[in-house]
Amino acid sequence: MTRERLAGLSEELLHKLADKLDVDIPDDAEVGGLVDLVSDALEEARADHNESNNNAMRVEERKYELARFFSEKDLTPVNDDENDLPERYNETRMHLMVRDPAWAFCYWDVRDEQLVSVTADPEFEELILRIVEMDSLSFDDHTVVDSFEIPVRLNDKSRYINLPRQDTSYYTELTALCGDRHISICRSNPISVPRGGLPDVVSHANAVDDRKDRVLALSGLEQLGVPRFGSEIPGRIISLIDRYAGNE
Amino acid sequence: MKYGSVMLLLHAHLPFVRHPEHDSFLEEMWLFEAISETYLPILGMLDRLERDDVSGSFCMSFSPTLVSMLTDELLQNRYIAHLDRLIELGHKERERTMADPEFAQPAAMYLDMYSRCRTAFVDTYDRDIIARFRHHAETGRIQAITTLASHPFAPMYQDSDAAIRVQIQVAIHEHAAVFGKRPRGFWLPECGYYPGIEDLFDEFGITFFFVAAHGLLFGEEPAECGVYAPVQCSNGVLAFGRDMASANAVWSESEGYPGDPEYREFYRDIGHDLPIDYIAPYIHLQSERINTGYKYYAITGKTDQKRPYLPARASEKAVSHAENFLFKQVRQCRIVGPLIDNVPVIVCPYDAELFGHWWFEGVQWLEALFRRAHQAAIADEDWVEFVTPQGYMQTHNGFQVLDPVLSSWGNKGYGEVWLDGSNDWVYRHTHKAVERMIDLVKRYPNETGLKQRALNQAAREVLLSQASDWPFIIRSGTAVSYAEARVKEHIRNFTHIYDSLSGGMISTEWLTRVERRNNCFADIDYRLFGRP
Repeated sequence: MTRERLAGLSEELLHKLADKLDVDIPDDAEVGGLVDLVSDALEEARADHNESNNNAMRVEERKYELARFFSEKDLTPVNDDENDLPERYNETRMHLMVRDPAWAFCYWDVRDEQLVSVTADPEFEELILRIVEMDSLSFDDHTVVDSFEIPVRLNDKSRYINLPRQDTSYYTELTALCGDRHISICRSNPISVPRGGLPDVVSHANAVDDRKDRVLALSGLEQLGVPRFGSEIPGRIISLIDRYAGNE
Repeated sequence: MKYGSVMLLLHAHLPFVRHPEHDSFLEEMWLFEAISETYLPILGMLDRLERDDVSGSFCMSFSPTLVSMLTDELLQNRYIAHLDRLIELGHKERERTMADPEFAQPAAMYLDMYSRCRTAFVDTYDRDIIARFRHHAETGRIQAITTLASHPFAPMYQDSDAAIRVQIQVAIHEHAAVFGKRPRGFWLPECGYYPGIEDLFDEFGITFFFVAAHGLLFGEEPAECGVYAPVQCSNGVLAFGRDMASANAVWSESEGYPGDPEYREFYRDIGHDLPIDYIAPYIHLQSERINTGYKYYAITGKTDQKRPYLPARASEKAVSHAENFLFKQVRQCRIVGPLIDNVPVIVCPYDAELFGHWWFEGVQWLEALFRRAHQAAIADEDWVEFVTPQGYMQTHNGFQVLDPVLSSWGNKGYGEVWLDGSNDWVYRHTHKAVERMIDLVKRYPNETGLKQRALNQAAREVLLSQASDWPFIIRSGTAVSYAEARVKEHIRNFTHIYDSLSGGMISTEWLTRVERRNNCFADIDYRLFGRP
């Protein structure tokens, strides 16, 4: 959206956009000043967003860039109640999704009657989200390796979970803490979390296989744009990257 | 001497956007821009390479939603009307810039370009550009493959085999309907792989797909050939790993070729620059400034003082960048070749719409690649061969058995673009819709007539709600309201059918309206959701 276009917007819309962009508006700001502030904030937001993207995402966004960043349509979304979806489906379920080696996302819902019943327990204290690490992706044949708990509010419906370990499996469980009892309400599907780094045999190799190391060095390890959750690239491979792949 | 192969993959995709209920609709221009700037230029290139008998081939994936739009009569007619407006603007621009030689040249270029687009689209290809791509697939110049039907980010649905299985089945069916044969390979939307999807590929005769580089490199065992040879999953399906160096050379706006000062500046468009009275007939609703496609400046550098765009100079640069790219591929293959047990293949997947749209000279660069590689092969200089996956697989074997790991080409390599605070609400609804659709098949296993139509439309709506484009756009901040509305519309349409069937009442009028509007995947059979 250009400065010219901003100048053509009503003061109400400018304030709405300023709110959306978290712009502090001085009490005595006139329309011209407001336009400047919003315009600068838009440019800054655009630059920050662009910076957060890798090359593939930047290119992909160009496909949809007819207007510049915010279009007027986004300032005046269709106020159509019919278009809204239910916040929940009044069922008891929990779904766990792996986002990357460090984070998972969990959403859940508890049937009204069940929640009433659980909270009616005289010893009910709070709902607990249990994150359980297990040694297998199968519920039929697993051993709990570790677990930790996060208290959640009655009206919480989702949560991002920072995963302590990679190359393992997790599930989550919603429980009600009633005195010293944990009453299980629902359990999620299991997820498998990737290692997020080179195989151990590469990271901790004692005997160096120069040929294989050179292939890895040439495979763009330093350009992946992927955080490493396991070991760093071994020094012996970094030196090969400098030698073979960095000779542009 | 030939040192290796380069496997170029262009992924052509746009989400299904079709609004017959409006006379014109802003987001339909995504398609029109891509036809003019990317698909027709690529076809023109293929036709010229064929005419001149230039060797070399590449892979193209066509998303079923894109194919559906390209073969849709309403959108074809609207595209022609869109071109007519641009040609009219071009005539006005020729007049306006006549006294200004610096801008007269690019203005004339655009008028010529859009006029040629019209001739090609209407006269040469008879509006059916997919048919021409099919011709090039039949002659082997491209290998046409497909992707998941509505382009979902697969890892978000990895707990539902049914969801992904239907996406694969519908995609294969849609592909075979227009290309005349089933695809052998798959492009995973956003290069989003999760372990196990290869079992579904195998089930449907898919023999290869592509993964991000770390999808191979971070596997259980070291990838012995790095990204320079595919790996064979445990079930025999091949996974080709993306090469990062060649990706960055073409994607990066700062260090890659598209950022060269001579190339056309994407962000300066007369839709934003010229007085509103003049440009009004050619922008949205005659009031909202949008890109028109007429862009007169060169990138120049990090300055607001842009130089006028000189097409001839930019074309020369595209050729020189193609030579540089080829030089680097030859060099890479020469270094890697002696280190691995196979002839190295460098896998370069790109969004097709990068070429011509954002990187305006991108198609010229592509054509120069093929022509220079062809000349080098004839002269027996140091060269690399452009191959399709099928061509490569016919002549190479003995690949390492290694299962890839969860990965994508998104930010930081996994799923954070499609699952963050702005868009995570989507999945509660799309997952629920899949679950309910499976339930519907159990309840109505063998319907006919109106109920069958309703169930088929329900299946369409479930698929359309899963498109990765909507969470992507919601996060990007460009057309948020539209993307949110689309997810809600499809879930709401599905739920309406779900509730109506439960109540035993379906409005024929409502159903017909929704069928006409969301008319992709014409032959879908809702029972697919019930098959193991």
